[in-house]
Amino acid sequence: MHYIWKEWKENIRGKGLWLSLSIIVLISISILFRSSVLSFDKGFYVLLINLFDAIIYFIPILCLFIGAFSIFQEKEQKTLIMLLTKKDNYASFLVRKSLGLYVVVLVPLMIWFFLYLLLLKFNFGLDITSYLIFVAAIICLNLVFLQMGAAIGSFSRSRMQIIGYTIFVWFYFFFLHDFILLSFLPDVTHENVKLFSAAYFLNPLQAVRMFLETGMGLYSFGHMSRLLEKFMWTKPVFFLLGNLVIWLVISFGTAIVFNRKEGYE
Amino acid sequence: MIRVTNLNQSFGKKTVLDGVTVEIGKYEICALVGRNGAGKSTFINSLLGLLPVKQGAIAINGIEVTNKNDEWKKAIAYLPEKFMLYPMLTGLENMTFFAEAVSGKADLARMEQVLRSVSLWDDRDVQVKKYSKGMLQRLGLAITLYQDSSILILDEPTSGIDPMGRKEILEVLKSLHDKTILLSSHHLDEIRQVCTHVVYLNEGKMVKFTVREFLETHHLGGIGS
Repeated sequence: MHYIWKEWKENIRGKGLWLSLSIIVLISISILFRSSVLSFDKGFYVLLINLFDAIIYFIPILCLFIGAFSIFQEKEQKTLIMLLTKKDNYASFLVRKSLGLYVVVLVPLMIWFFLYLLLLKFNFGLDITSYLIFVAAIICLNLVFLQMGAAIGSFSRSRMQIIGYTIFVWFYFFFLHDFILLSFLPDVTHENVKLFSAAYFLNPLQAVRMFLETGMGLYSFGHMSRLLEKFMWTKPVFFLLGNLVIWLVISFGTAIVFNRKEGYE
Repeated sequence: MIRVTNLNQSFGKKTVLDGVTVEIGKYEICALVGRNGAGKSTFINSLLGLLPVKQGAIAINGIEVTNKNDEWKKAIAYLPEKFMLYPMLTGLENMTFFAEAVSGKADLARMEQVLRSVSLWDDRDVQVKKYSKGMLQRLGLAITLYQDSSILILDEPTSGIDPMGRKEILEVLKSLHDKTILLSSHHLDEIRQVCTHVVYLNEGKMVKFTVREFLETHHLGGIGS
């Protein structure tokens, strides 16, 4: 609990969190204005998809940077060493620090999306279930990329390394992952499509998008080809949960195994 | 008490600590001295369990330093060199965080007592980013003192501090009669003022002296006084 309290106080007194939140607020408001011409019945879904498409570029890199710099600062300020010489080991430190980061990032974001829902009420017919699915998708995206950021901060030795790794991870999930899979596409058969699907949904952006779009009823799984049926071999929510678990475990594992406690290496 | 027996530490082919054997007794204030790169940080990090001990043994108050148990950690409080703490938090908030991290809950009366002992009680609600270097160092010292550990390991506690700030830190150190202290330092005058012994690290080997012996052996009697 004391880590959450400390992270909270540190961040609400800093500029970084407010700046990031204000960008999300501005994006959401501008999309709301642009969507005011949409119909009362269907506009809500269009707005949510547009909003998701707009912030999906921003949230991953924001979370990567927050996670990475937050861990790195503990090394730079030598507070990590002070903590590790007492009760904590790196794993327990990372768990507590990560929980603190989740709260710091998610609580203001959830408050904003609650207020945003009130604004939406004046313009559109609300579908609370779809909105909760949208919020859940954003939460998952935050968790995965915050934890990846924490891993980057753990094994980086300098701020330049953090910037390099972060841009690489962002670039990989936005472009490279799909690009690599595209090159395998001609070889996909009924026999190996499950493997291809697993690799495809290993990308958190794809898993989150599929969860959101199917959850909101934009896609139906009623009339799929045999190949596509095999591709979607489980429900999108399970792809998302699997993705969440895999990336959290990989990020924690990488951070613990490859962490560098600046100052003695 | 710290007992180090035949400690070896090497990085690749470079041997940094070569069969170091030393004992730092109860209530001794011992300066850790050596040239830059002599292995002082490696020695300290070995004592703190931050570097695994592959060859040799370290015992803190009779408990062996291993990753398998944390009992020895209770006896040690460490203040690193050039630390910054959490600049957005106040002095008291920083102290509360570390107190809770160490013992689960913070004792305000004890925090007040420790902060008063380093003359920081009046500045407790000031954000640490507004602290001077000397105030920051005293806050760090207060955090280590709050832990009530019998052994303090201080890495260059007066580094980069103005003479007045140094004097204040040294006064605090001199008042700690019930602690065993290992402090890394380059300042002979502060060694002379505060320390009872010196452990000198040179080319991987460590030798222990009294302060007088050290100054005489190294022909430093007239320097830094």
